[in-house]
Amino acid sequence: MFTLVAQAVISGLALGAIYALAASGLGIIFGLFGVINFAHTQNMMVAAVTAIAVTSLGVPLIAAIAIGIAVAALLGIATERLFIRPLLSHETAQIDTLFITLGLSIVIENGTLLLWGSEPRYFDSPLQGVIEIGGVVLSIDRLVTMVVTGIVFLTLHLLATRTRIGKAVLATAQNPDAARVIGIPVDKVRLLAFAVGCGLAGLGGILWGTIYSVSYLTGGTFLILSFVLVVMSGPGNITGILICSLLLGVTESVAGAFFDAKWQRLIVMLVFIVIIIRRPQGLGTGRFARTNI
Amino acid sequence: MTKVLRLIKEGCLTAVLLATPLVAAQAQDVKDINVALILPQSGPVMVNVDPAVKSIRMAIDEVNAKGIMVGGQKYKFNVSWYDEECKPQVAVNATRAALSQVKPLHVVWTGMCSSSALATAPILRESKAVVINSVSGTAGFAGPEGNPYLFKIKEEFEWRSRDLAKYLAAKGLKNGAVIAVNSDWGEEASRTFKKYAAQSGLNIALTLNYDEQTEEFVPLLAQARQAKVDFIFQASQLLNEQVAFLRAYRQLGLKIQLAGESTWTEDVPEKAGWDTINGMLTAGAWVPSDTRPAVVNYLKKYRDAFKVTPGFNGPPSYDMVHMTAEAFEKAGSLDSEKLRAVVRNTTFTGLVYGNGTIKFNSGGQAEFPVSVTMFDAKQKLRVLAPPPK
Amino acid sequence: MQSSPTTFYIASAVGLGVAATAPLFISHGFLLYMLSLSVIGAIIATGLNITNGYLGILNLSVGGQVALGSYVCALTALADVPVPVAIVLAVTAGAALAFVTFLLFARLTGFFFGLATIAAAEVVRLMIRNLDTITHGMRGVRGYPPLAQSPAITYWLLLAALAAVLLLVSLLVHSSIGLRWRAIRENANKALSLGLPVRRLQLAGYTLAGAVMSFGGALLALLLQYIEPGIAGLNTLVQTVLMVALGGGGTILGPVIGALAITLIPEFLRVANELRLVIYGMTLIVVVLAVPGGVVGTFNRVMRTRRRLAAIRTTKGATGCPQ
Repeated sequence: MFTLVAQAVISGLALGAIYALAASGLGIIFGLFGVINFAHTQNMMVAAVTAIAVTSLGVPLIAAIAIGIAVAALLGIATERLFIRPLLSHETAQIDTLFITLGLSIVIENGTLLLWGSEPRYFDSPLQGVIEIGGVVLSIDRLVTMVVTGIVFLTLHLLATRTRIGKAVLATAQNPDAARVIGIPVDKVRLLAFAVGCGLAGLGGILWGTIYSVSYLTGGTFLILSFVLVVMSGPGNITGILICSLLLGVTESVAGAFFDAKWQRLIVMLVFIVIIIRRPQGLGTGRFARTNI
Repeated sequence: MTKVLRLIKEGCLTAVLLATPLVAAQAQDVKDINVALILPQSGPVMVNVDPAVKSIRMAIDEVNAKGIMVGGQKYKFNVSWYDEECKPQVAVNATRAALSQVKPLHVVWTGMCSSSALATAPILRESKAVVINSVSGTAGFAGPEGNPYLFKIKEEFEWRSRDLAKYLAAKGLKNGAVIAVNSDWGEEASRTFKKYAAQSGLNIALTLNYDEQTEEFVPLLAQARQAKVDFIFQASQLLNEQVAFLRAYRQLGLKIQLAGESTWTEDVPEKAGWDTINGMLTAGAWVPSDTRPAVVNYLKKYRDAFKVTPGFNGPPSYDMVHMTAEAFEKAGSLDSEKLRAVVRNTTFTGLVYGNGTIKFNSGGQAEFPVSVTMFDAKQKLRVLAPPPK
Repeated sequence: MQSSPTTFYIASAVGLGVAATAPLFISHGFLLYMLSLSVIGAIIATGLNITNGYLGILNLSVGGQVALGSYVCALTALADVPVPVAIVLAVTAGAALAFVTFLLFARLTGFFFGLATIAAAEVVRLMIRNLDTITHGMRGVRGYPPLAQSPAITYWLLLAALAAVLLLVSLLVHSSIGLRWRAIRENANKALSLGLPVRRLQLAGYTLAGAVMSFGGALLALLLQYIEPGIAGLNTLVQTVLMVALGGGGTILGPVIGALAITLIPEFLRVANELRLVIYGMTLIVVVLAVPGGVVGTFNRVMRTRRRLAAIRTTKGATGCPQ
């Protein structure tokens, strides 16, 4: 019994770590811009697809991963420049950005299908082995995912609170006009945040690819969940997103171990609805929260 | 002198110009048999349908190269492809489009997802067109109650489950787990297997369902390990689910006998490796290790062209093209009623699927024996399973 | 908006009359079927237009409302309830769902509200899928009676339904209620400070939108003669959103034109399927960037500009401003 639960918890933590990477990127962007990027989770797919494609050309794994993340970040910058910035002045900015990024998401997903085909692809990852501790099997790729995510979030937290850049980002989030007055280059800060957010998602996609498979559909499976996580924890609350994501991953996994999987998704949706009704501003108000949302 | 030369040149040119239409007329002597082909060409199931698409193209090329002799006139297949996207609404649109755009329509080939087949059944029935369906797995849309003009090649879930369950019981196994995908196909597969498992005296201790596209199988397999079952029956339609399942099985270091639905074919180990899948059992009519010349030739040709072993939807689709050509030749005419009578009454031989023979019963279902096969890592192929002790 | 409602009504009546003659010219069962599908799409899009176009609420519950309408209609008709009654039940169920949903999410605004409606639609889909003893789950529902035996009569009935819905919406829009809706869309806070019962007006609009979308869902079930839980998915939402965006939100005819375009044009693009989806996505991008207000919105803007230019030309003011 214990081994069953432990096994489920381990799988769930790795799953949750990936959710956290995807959702926190979205959270940073939403917290800073107040706009929605429906194409956000496509960054995950694009990064993983690029990394796999590049490894097949003979590039070593680490370099391929770096390239994948860079491509995701660049895609993010392009999205911000071409599709979001022109709309920020519209009165219906939120709705417009939602639609345009929805269109972008469809184009990216089906464009990948056209260029890459429908087959699922895999990393030739060296992390195929397992460690066994008292009947509980821990696969190395899941272990690596958890460790890497932990390091990334720790770094993010330190950057946000200890460095000048981090504080500049926080200031821009809280009050962009005041930040501009102080001399913070608001546009550059926003661009940086977008790139970081999309890079995080890209890393999440690559880690997903080492454990599971990657295809043109990969981005879509995370979409609704990412938004749900961001709204549940509150837009700028990165630590909150991490905790909610881990909780979600573990709950899904444990529920899968004991109940019929059919009800998992439904339970998640119902929990989300309950939370959003009781606390429309999310479970926590983050340091990133905009003052005029 | 030059004038004569010029006249000769013009004369030759005229002769050539006069001869060309004659030559063209010779080539034009091959007429078209118009075929509407409706199958899913987008969506996650594309991976499963790909072998069907490739096999159909291969077969069309072969048939058209030889030509189809109907009543003394040579014909070739002129196929219009329609994508039903594995969505019932789109399937209905595609079918209606096909029925109105392909004129004159001589025969319809389909290989749709189960819900699409069910959705389009009334439309096809109304059209009275002869329909050959190669790979739809579900029951209830062919035959007199369904569509008396529709003929279905792929075997029923029932026969596969019956033989597989019998084999497992004969091997002395007692308790099993069923892990099936949460779709209409998965539900039918799971239900049918459990029925025959009960008939064979097997006890299904655990039934687990998972949502499509899931790749997290560790908790599910941990449950199976907990329940100490002797075998696991897995029903999945998507390649990435199957690969993830094997990975999780390997990671947990399990030693439970694996059995799977007909969707478990060589493309899975060609992605996931052969060590874990070695010894896994499935039942179906596609036995690639068969030594019949038709199978050997098909396999070689497909592998040479595409570098992979064809999946389970390949052979029946390949046969669909060839038997249609043979049916037209036997009917001696393009008339639907004559075609239908021929398809209904003929025993087609020399094919790839099953034992190479297709004879449709009164329910429009092709009948042939189903075999239990086993994945063999040494031959990198599925072979006939050895007799259970 | 058009300058005179009367001319608009006359023009629409003529348009509907022309549309009604279609079965006389079209012998292709296929084209008539596609037109019937477009008419249903127009009904659903008109429903969505009430909230997203006129009220300015981000309503993304389309999948759930349509599916509820489809299933209530199909399951009751299967149980030998007469088809008109089944339709009424479907509309009532849709209105009830919309009413409750809005009350639940009343405190949310903008994107958060939209996300909550998506979650609600997902709940509907999953319930339909999982409660398979009632809904037949993934196997789907079929074998219930159709709207009419002949395709032509079905088409005329659907056209009549569309006419009724459009009449209802245009009457509302041209009334004081419509004025208040647009005031809320411009600035909800200001409307509130002016004394408008904002929440109540939004509730009424959202409920009506839900009822209309479920009406469309019921008709869809009757036309398709086979439904499955996939109807509640993202596909229905994206198509309907695209219909409203392309045709023009906040106009009466916009959703109709959008529905015709989205339903019929892909049939001409049958050859390239994945390409078709890419084109959908690009259309959405282009519409938002370059053609906000969609086809009809742009047409209206052009007409308004021309009228203004004409007015300027006829006055003799030195500043050029219309007197």
